[in-house]
Amino acid sequence: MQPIGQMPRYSYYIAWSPEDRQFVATFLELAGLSGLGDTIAEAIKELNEALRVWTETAQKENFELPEPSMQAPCVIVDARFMGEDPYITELAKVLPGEFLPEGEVGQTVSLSEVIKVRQAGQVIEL
Amino acid sequence: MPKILIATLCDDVREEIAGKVSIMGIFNQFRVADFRSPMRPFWIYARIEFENEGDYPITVELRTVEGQRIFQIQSVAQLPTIPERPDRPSTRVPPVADLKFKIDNLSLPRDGLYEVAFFHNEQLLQTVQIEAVVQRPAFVQ
Repeated sequence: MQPIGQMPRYSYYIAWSPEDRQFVATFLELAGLSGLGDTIAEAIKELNEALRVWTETAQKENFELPEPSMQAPCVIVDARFMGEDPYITELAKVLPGEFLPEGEVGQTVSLSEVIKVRQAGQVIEL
Repeated sequence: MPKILIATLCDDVREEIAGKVSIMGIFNQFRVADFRSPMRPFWIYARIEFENEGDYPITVELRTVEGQRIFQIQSVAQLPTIPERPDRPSTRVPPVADLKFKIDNLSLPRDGLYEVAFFHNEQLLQTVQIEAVVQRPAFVQ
């Protein structure tokens, strides 16, 4: 198994995948590898595991991996779906449509409407 | 053809609940004390106007003006079709998408002129130039 310290230190690009409804992490230098996760940390962990396997394959198959483009890994986050703290303040943006009543996806819902739904006994997971 | 309405580098971008966007600390100069160390976080923000709703691939690249690529991001500007509602007036304003990237821990190779370039299907939409200058420590007697 390749030790983490011997793996190239690539830069990360974190985005949100609407299809998978998960965070997706890729490397700027090696866009073919990706990791998915319910959290950014999970996505990065999966990506690093993919890199570990790919590094071992490169050694076995004798092909070269690209050089890291920066001295230290840079992290770029596509922030369209996130706030400063997505899990507390901006979860509705991280999971667009997840908290809206059935059939209301893409439309705004007022707080009073949410309260009405709750009072009607429907569960909204927060 | 998509049209860039705003493109800038800044310290922060905040979105209000009503959809308004606040851009804070616009700058066009990186002041770097030590090019071996990463810079403090910054944002790339762009508002792009499209003719119709849909998904549009957008590439954002930071490079030197000589063409040396620092990084490239492949993104998708998503403009969902909003269903019409009888209680809301229809609008003729072309749809727009906001791109917001937070760049953390970036290090640049040297001082000089750089540019952020925006592409759609390999067609250059716009560039934003930025200069990296050496930040000299303040002289203290």
